[in-house]
Amino acid sequence: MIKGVKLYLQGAFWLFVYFLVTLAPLFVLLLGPIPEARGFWREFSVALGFAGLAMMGWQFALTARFRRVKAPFGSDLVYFFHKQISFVAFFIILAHPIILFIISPETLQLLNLTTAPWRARAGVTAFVALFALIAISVWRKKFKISYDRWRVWHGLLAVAAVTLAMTHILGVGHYVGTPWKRALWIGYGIAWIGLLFYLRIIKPWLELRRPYRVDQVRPERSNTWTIALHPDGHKGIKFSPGQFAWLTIWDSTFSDKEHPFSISSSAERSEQLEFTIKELGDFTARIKQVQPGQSVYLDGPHGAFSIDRQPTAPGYVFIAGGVGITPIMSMLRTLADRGNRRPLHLVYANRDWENVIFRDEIQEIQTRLDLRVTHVLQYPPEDWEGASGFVTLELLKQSLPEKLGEYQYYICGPEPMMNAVEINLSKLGVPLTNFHSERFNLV
Amino acid sequence: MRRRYSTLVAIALGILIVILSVIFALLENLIGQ
Repeated sequence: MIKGVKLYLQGAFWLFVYFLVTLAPLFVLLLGPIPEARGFWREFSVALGFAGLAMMGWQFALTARFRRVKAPFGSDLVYFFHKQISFVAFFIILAHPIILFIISPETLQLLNLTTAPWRARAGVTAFVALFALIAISVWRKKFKISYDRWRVWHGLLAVAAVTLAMTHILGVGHYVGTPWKRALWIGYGIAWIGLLFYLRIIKPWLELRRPYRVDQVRPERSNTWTIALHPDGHKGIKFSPGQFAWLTIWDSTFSDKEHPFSISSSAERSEQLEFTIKELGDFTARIKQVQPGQSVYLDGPHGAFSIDRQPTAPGYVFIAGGVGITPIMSMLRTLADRGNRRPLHLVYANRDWENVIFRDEIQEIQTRLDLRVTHVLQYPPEDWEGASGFVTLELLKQSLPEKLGEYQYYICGPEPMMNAVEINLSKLGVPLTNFHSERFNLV
Repeated sequence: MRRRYSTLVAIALGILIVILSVIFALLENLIGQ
């Protein structure tokens, strides 16, 4: 079967499964003996509560990094969906108490945690945990919460919100008294605990058993470092060029202090992996301190940003900004190792000539590939004869091939650049299905 | 573009939940008298 069609079918299947498990509580509510009716609005509110909890609980599956589930969509899209569906779940869950307060104002007393019954305390606290979870995610930078600390709190609040909400529905008990309904919620509870167990215990343990050893840490241009690793006592991973992995460097794999980085080396040389990392934050500023011989751990490969997803394309166009070159470098190195002679175009935007990461290697690799390179500098040197400024519509028109629509496009760089490039390529008539990018700036 | 599809799916799921909740509440009031 054609790879693209297979991926679409897989995507449709996982979407169907997700809808099914999220909506199942609403169908199961009507199975078996139904308790005495309490009016439309109350039942509506209860249904929203159940569905909201199912949405929350299945978030554990969305973030569990199951490669087969993520493959059709790409990791960044699954995280983006996770973020969006959290907002939908929040408003659905918020509607649950608000409707109750409107139809029965006396239920407002349940907000008083000193006098409210335990089931109400659990419900209110679950909502507070959910609100805190969303607040620290939306305003992480504003609250000046470090990424590592945010991840810990994100996990703790998610577990607290779901556990307390389960306690709330079991405490109220109105709809979970019959075997079908009880079986559904017990099954969901077991599945969610199982997912957590897998994520926090099994997965880190598996990673710990497959360490990597650092061979070297070498400086690149623009405060960037390449860290080269080899699998220590195992076969390592097979990856597609452009994919990324989560790296744990100084901590235990159980600590959850891992960071995603693109693999920059060739997929044809998986016995040595390289990651090229720019000093941009607390964690990345320490990369240069990594010592040869040090053990690091890796979860991957992940991601759908790869030429191997479009293997039959007649040619590829790569558009990179700054350190966004790293996954593209992996694709170029892989194509060179494969002896691929398809026409390739690279538009590479940087601040200035001195900060062009892989500048020399890109020049060298042109001898092994049918590659045309357009460097774009924001602050060019005086004698610069190439393109300057930003990756504009005019620049794309001049530097890209004539049959634009036949090529596949891989875009990686700062968010504003990626947005502008996508708009400009659309204006040039490139079909949207030919754009490929991954964006991780979510929190 | 991919994000737009994701947003549409999230909104569709939210709308579906509201519609099914309305249907549930109506049925529950009919059956559970």
